[in-house]
Amino acid sequence: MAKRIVLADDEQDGLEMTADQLTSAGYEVILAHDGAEALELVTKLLPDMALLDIRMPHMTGYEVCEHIKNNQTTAQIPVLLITANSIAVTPEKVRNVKGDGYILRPCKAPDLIKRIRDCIGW
Amino acid sequence: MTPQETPLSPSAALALKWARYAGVLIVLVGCAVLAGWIFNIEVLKSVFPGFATMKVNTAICLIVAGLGIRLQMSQNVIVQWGARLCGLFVSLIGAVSLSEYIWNWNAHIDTLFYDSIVAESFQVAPHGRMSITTAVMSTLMGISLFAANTRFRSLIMLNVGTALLVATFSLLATAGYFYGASSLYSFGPYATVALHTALSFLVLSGAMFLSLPTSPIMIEITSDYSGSTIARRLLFLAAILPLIMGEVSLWGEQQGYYDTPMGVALQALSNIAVFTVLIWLTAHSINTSDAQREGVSKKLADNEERMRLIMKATNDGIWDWDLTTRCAWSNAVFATAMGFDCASEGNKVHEYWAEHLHPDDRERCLASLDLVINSGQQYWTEEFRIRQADGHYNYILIRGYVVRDDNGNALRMVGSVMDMTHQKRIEEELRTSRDELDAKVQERTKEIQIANESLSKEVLQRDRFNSRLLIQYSVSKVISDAKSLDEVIHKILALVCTQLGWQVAAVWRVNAAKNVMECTDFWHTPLKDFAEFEKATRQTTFAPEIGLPGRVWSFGEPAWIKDVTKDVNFPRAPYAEKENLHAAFGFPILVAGHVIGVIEFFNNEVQPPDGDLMQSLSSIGNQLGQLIIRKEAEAKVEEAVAIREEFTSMVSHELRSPLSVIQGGVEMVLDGVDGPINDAQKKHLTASLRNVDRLGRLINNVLDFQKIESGNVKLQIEPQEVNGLVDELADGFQEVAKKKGLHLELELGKNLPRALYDKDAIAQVVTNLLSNAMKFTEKGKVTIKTEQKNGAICITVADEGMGIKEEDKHKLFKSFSQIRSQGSPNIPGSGLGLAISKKMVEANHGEISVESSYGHGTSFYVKLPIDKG
Repeated sequence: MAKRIVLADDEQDGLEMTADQLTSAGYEVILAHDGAEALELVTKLLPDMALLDIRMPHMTGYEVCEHIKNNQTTAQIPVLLITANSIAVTPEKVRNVKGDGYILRPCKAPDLIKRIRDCIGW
Repeated sequence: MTPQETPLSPSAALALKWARYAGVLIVLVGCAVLAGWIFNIEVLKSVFPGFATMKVNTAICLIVAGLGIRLQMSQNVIVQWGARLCGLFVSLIGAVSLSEYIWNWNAHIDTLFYDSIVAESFQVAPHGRMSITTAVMSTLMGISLFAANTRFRSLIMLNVGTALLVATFSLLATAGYFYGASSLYSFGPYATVALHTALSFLVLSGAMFLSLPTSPIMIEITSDYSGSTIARRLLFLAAILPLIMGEVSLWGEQQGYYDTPMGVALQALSNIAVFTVLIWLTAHSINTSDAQREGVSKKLADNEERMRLIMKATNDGIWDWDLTTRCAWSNAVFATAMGFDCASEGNKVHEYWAEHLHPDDRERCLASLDLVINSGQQYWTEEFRIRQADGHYNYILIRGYVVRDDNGNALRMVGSVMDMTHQKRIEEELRTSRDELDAKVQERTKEIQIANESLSKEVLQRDRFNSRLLIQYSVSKVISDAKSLDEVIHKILALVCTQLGWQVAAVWRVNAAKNVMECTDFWHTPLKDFAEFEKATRQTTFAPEIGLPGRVWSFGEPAWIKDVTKDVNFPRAPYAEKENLHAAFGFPILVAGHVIGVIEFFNNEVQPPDGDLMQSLSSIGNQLGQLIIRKEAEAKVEEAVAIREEFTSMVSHELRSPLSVIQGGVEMVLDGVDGPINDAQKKHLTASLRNVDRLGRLINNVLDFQKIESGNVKLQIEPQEVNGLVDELADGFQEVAKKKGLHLELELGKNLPRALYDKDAIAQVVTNLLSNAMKFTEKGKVTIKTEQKNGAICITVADEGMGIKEEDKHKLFKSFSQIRSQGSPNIPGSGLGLAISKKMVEANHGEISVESSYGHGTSFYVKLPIDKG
């Protein structure tokens, strides 16, 4: 059974593009279009992993991550943050919300898949 | 001294007393005889029956003579003349009676008194005339009386001589009666001296002597000297004993015990015996007296010697002043001390003394001496200065004792003088030096006082200065630590008030729109609530020149109000008065010479302007102004930085996001995920992907540069070796080199120490350098080398490319500059690589440099500091 990943991004193109890459790598991808939706999905579906864009309306990726990690039932789910803003993101900020790491766009498909596999395997 | 003042010796006084009795006795005898005649009492006329009678004349002479004796003893000269008259009368009677015998005539004086008092019927002795002896004795007695009491020596001799003769005659007559030798008392056929006449004259002559105890004759008997004492004793025995001896031998002869020669012999012998005894007694008496005197004189001499020694010992001058004669005696020491000798001044001693006294002492000394002499005091003590011959003054301490008679009259003064000049000089010197010392002490005290005052003044000033300094320091600290301007200002209000002990402070800011000042902050001491004043302050606005804030605002200078409650231009005065605020001080907050606000302070005391305080507080205004300027600048910078960061952040996100989608899509098509593609499609998509990468790198470079420029790069500089990193990086380029037909050579230094650097930063730099080297080298080799050089670790990247012209070298490390050489291939690049590398290396405290030879190649050197720890 394919691993389920909740992928959240407010930009449709980026969302679909990444979803296609993950799907082609064999993962089941559940799409969320903002932070709140992402949190709801993660809480409801308890996926194997969450990939969260940092800049989202309603809730930022950081906030969603923090909620996930502070909720006992979801705390074990690995969370990777995605961003194109190399200036704003820092390892400290990610650590502060107990995120498992971040991926800087643009990112080559193999690199992305490698990072996910490091977290949850195939 | 006058004679009456000489005290009589006891013997003389006794003699006078007896003389008085004798005089009275004679008068009584005369009177008794007269009574005998008047009343015909035989016993009174002749004592024994048949004996010769005392004639009336004789009786009268006796009465007058007795009276004369009595009178001449008087002190009164007139009365003494009465005595002389008596003497004249007696001698006249005697002389007349005698002349009757001599010339055998009758002067009728024999019965002159007789007839008048004696009854005619009585037949008495012929003529009633006194005997010759009586007449002689009367004459002599009268002369003696007349000559008594004179100062003339011849008269004195006459007085004494006649009295002696009278005594002799009367004694003879008496002796005649005693021995029964009538020839001795009876001359011729006529008058016989009556027994009581003889005795009476004997008494009279004795009285004569006794009445003049100080006469030259009597003085030897009446004096207190031992000779007189002996004389008094012996005279009596000498008079009595021979008489008795004569009587005894006469009696023996008459009784027939022995014949006349025998009697005379016996009398002579007995006289010899008597005189021998008397002489022996006299000798004994004189010897005893001499012995006594000798003892006394020895004692006297001893006393004198002692006295002399004492005087010598005390070295006091001694004086003895006779107040009667006003003469004085003094010793040598006295003369030395006083400057004069009493003896040479005679009776002017007192005058000399008074004249030479120091004028300041004269009145006092004369008064005190007068007082002592006249008041009955005994002791006199005085200190004075007396002028010496050379004009200088001696200090004298004089002490005197007043000798007085029984009536308390001062007779004499005896005393001492002490020369105090030396002591006084020492005292004076002591006093002078003490005064000098006092003056010096006072001077020093004053100096110390002045020094103390100026010191405390200085300390006060220092304190004030320190306090001001502390304020300024504290203010500076507050300003430097400040987060916001409002916080700074509030802290300054509290700080200045607390330090100065002022109670209230307020801040005013200019509201430019309304052209007024508004209170933006108010501070008061926590010890008291200034609610009303605070309310008034917060609710009032001030136009220019109105109130303290308006004034400071308008003139741009600090202002001081001594007492706001008395100030005409202080609208809040009523509130200030209620809260007991008086002195006020305001200073402007100046920004570029422009008043933007005012800070005012209030005190509960009236205080005159304090220039120092104004100055030091005004500097706070300037500091605040500078702070405001700084804060504004900082705010601008922060804003700019924030805007830039926002911008770069936006750029980063907005550029990368689409790029990411493009890249992902192209990759997926190329990978054949969506179905197979032909070669032409593949070629085009590969080119697209390559340029997407390039665009990504460019964006990364721009962002990196931005990061470094804004100081936002956080480096982890730590000691680590460089060979591993260089090896790894070179490895990554081997494939690129191979593709391009280049030879990448690696030369790693051995046993290199560790360097201090941030791995990512230096990796980026080296990568950039290698990448450049590959890019600009068409054939040959690229060398990367590590070594220790000049105390640093040096990484060298050398190529054999076209090299760089000398004139282009300075542009090399500048941003956005890529050196384009004519004829050189168009090599893509942002031109940021070396600029970023330089900044990266410098951020790692290292150096980057270049050496190039145009047409032959270029070498880049990165030097990193060696880890010394």
